[in-house]
Amino acid sequence: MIEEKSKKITFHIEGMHCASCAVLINKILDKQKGIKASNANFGSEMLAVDFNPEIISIEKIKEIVANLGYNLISKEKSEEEIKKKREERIRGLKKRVIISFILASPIIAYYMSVHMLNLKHVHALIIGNYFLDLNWIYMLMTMPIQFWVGSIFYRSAWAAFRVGSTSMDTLVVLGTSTAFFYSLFGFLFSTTYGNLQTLWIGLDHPFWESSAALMSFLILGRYLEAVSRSKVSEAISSLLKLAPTKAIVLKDGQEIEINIGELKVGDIFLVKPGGQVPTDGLVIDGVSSIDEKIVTGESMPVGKKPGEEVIGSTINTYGLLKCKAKKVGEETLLFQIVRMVGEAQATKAPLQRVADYVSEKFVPGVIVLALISFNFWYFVYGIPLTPALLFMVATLIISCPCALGLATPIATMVGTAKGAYFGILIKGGKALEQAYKINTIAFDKTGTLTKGEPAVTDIIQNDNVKFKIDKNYILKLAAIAERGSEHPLAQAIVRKAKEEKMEIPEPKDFKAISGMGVRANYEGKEILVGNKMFLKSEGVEIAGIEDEFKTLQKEAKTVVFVVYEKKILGVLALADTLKEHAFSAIKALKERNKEIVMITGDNEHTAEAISKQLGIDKFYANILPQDKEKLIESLQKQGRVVAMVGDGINDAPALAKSDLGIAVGSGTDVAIETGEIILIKDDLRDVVTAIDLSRRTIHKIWQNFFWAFIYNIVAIPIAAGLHLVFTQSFGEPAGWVLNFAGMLNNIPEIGSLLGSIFVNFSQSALRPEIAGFAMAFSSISVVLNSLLLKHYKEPTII
Amino acid sequence: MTSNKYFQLGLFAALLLSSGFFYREFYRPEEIGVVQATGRVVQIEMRILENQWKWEPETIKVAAGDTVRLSVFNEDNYDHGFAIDVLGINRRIFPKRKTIVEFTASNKGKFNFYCSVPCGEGHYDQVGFLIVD
Repeated sequence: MIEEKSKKITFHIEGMHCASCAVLINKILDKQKGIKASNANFGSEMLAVDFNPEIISIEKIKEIVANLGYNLISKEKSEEEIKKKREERIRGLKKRVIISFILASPIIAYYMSVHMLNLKHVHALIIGNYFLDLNWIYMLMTMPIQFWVGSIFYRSAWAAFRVGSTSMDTLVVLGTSTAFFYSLFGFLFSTTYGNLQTLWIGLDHPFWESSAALMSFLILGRYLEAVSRSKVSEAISSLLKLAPTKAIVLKDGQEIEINIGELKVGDIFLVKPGGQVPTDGLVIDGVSSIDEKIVTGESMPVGKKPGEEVIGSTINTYGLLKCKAKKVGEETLLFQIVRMVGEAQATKAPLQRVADYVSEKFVPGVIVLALISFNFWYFVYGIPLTPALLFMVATLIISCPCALGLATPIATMVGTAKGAYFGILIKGGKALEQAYKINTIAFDKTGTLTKGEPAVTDIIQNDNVKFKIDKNYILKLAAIAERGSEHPLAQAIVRKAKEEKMEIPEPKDFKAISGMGVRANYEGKEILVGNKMFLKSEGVEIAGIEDEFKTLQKEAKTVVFVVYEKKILGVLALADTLKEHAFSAIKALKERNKEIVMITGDNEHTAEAISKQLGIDKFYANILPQDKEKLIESLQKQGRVVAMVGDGINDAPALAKSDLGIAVGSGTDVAIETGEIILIKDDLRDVVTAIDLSRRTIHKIWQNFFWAFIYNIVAIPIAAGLHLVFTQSFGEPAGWVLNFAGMLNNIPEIGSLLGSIFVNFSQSALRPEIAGFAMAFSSISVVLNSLLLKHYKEPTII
Repeated sequence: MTSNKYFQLGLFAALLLSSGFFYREFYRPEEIGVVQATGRVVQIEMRILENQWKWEPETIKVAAGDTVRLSVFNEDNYDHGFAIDVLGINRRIFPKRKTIVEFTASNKGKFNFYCSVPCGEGHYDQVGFLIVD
């Protein structure tokens, strides 16, 4: 047997408009020979396929998907193209919205005002002998709305049909199509125009406004959603810093700057102090330490000497390094991580959106009720076929609330706008719709919970020293010695001294000994600042401060000794420190019953120390980037809904995999691109605000669905005429109806009017004007209810 | 294979309709159901009185199976509508002119007809009865 070949590839999918589209693509692709796994994701618009290239080609896969009506764009080269297509899509939607509203607004305005205010209707233009039924005009105005604007919904409903599910679009298509064709046939076949009444009895009360208003509001909703999404991407691109595009290579002893794309394996490149490492390579000359936290998550810079590896896009600190390129382009670690992000996004578990959840339950219910109504009228009550069908049609028409398409987008639009006001960028309404479900929050340590740079945390003096000195004096001496050093630890010491408002004079004979410490001369006396190894090589005994040294090391702090005249004055401890509001944010999240987990690439010691300070119960240390993603996956498999908060390149795959990726705004490009929520202010309390805002928004969405549906739900059995069973006996109003009306009659002034209205209403099926009223009122309720979210205030966290 | 909603709905529809069919064939009382058209045409003149939101006559009486030619004259200068739910009739009545509504009185009973087009203050009171013997 031949071993099966396998290739994984991710595409961007163009043309997806509903969750069913993704299901459809998966369903069809999974049936193909040679495809092991297909994973289309609606949220990220991506497709990951695992296939055998010997059996099925990429072209064939593209062709199959194209036949379904979607385009596959190769992921790597297409960032610009995807952006252009997205803009094109938004422009297309905008065009539809404008045309739809130009055509529909007269109809909507006319019908809404007439139905809500019970105005006098005029259906025709009559001047002398000239007679024009206005419905001709309404019909012509509604047609393009129903079929051109609405084609989007027809396609989605068709996709949903093919996978056997009922989405929101199914409900829309069902409701508007019945309304439109009911109006069309009723109007054209009514007796006023020829002898078509033999086909369709005298029914010419059209429902153009139902189809026109519904489609217009729906398309507006789609447009708003697309815009709020693109606005955020614009804000994000302005947040992103430019990645290094140049590399300095050494050719024939000359330094030349070249584009990163021209870099080849084996090239010798230079990394200057403070510069970014252009690609993965091997140090061949020079000593420095490199800040690798964005890739590995390690908080302290890592010392590099010849023979050691450097990772592309990490940041050099003080020394000049000469390196040999080992991997370039797609082979580099960074690129592999980016690819992992793509795969994670494409394989992300989809969470159902509220609109689809509601529709999935609602549509079958409506169809069942419509069938029951037909069955009752036709078989049990024994009326002719056409009227029986009309009861069914009326049920379907009234089932689709006008405000259906607005319920989610309007609430999420207000929610995202509110988020932006607090400095929380939310990419699309989807993130907002899901954040409330989160029950576990995984934090990256370095750069997210901590500042990601060392700071002086302790100054301890050596009790063994005969002369007593001030603690600040130790710091001052250390700062004097370190003044000339570029090492991050040295800079942290100097920074601390400056914070204490010390004057730091310049020393004499400054010398940095790589990997050990510094030596300097001040006022004729020698100062040494460095690690244990440095002391050993200088022949200084560690006496009297060993216990403190060990304790500090246990706390995962970096300890430097300050030696004055060959005597240890004391030690300085340095560590990565917590961000200002990290503690209160974690506390607030715990109060909200969220489980907190810390994931870090840093060592066990440091991880334990930080998690203790923050009160985090669970931490995972020494986690490689690819394992972070797996860790999130395993948490999800335990049934948790996981949010990941991170900033680094190494967090990106985990951010993509998590149910909600929250990127800290000060973080790396990749993280910001990947996250669904971006905290611009770098304040962790915003995690709490984001989740809280999401909860409030989702409440609004549910309320909106209530308001959108309630009028219609009440109207459905009336449209089906089922209430007549209770309100009528042998064609006469039932006894209880008359009794109740009699009670209403006792109300002074309006009593008799109410009584007669009640009797009349109870005796007929859904009257068209009531249907129109329901439609108008549901939209207004939804909009007003959403706007209430504007008063949202962020939770106070101390 | 995941359950297909449409298949389930189709199955439900088939079951429901066939049980309805059986009920009609074997259990439904004789007097209920559509009466075949006899071919007799009954001509009825009706007026909607100006600004009174009132049908004249308010009650019309026909025999089952009659073909009713209802000629409604709207005296108002705004629209009304003539609707009988159970017979599937819903017609717009244009102002200051005669509109013919033709239908077969297919079922016995007393049915209400009402104005189906919003027409101002008296709209909800504008009702009448059709009695089919």
